[in-house]
Amino acid sequence: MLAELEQVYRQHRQALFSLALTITGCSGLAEDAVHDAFVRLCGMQESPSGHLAAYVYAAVRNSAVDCCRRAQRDLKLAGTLFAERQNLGVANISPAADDVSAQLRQEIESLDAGTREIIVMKIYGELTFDEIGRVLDSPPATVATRYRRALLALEEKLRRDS
Amino acid sequence: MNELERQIRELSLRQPGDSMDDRLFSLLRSSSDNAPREQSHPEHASTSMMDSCTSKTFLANETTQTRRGIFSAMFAGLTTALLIGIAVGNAMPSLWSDSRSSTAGLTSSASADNAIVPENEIGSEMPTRHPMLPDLPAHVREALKNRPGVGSQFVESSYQSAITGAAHWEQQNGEVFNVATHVSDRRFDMCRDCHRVGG
Repeated sequence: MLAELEQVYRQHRQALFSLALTITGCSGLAEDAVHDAFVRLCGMQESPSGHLAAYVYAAVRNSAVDCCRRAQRDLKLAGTLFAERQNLGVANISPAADDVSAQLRQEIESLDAGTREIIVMKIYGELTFDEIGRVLDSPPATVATRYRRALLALEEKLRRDS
Repeated sequence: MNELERQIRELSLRQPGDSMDDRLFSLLRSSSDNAPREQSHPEHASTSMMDSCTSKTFLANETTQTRRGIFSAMFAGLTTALLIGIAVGNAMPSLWSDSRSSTAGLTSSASADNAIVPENEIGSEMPTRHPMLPDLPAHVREALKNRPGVGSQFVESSYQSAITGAAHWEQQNGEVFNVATHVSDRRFDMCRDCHRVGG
């Protein structure tokens, strides 16, 4: 169980942190949420049924919500989900591509928190819609619809702005 | 994965600090060495116990759903208590006014006839005993009724107002009843209670 948890953490470390960051809006709280979730998971006596990664995502998400409540913070995203441009560490990006990326980041940041969670879990966590539905306690069809609508909206905004 | 998804995936996410890795790996190692150590942490002890009990069932909502249920139950309980309170509060004045109006009707007719309504007739229309009066045996009630110097100056008849009782008392004793010290029916009842128990 612990070895499996460690493997999940190594594989999904970034996406788990991003999911928590989407909810808390604070990197410190997001780290605390991930840590708290794993503390709980380590205390479990038996392995959960189903896909362990989805279970860990659910635990991190609930822990982030709990962290927010404890800290009584506004759920509005205070810190950005993405790294700053100067911290990207990629110097050979063309200005046009850089502009598109910046615009894309901005558009994703403007999405509601629930849709951002879906995007993080789908694209960065590579979870299936069924697994995301179990994490969010929503039907997979609803999750898929929200995801596709978000992508369509992003495409439309990028096309319009360009 | 379409083009847009690929573009999103290529965006650089904000990285967690190294401290998170340190904390997590030390946690995982310490858990593998000695699992109860983490459970003894006061902040997480209860949640760890809960997880061990419900590990099969909780996936999506964990403690969030539990708290939501507790809050819902508390809210439902408070709402029910409030509704019951409102219903009782609304019913009480009407019951009280009904009781008083029937009593007033009875006493006014009695005073109009200048006669006391017999106890058996009163008992047929309303309770035989005022709720505030002690439950005395019949022979004690008779004895108290026939002792004008010791007991109450009022007749021993339930639901008689001061005025009605005074008329009968004056008829029996040939004295004038001082109504000024007995302001209302309610006050009269209170005085009668005291006198009846020998006060």
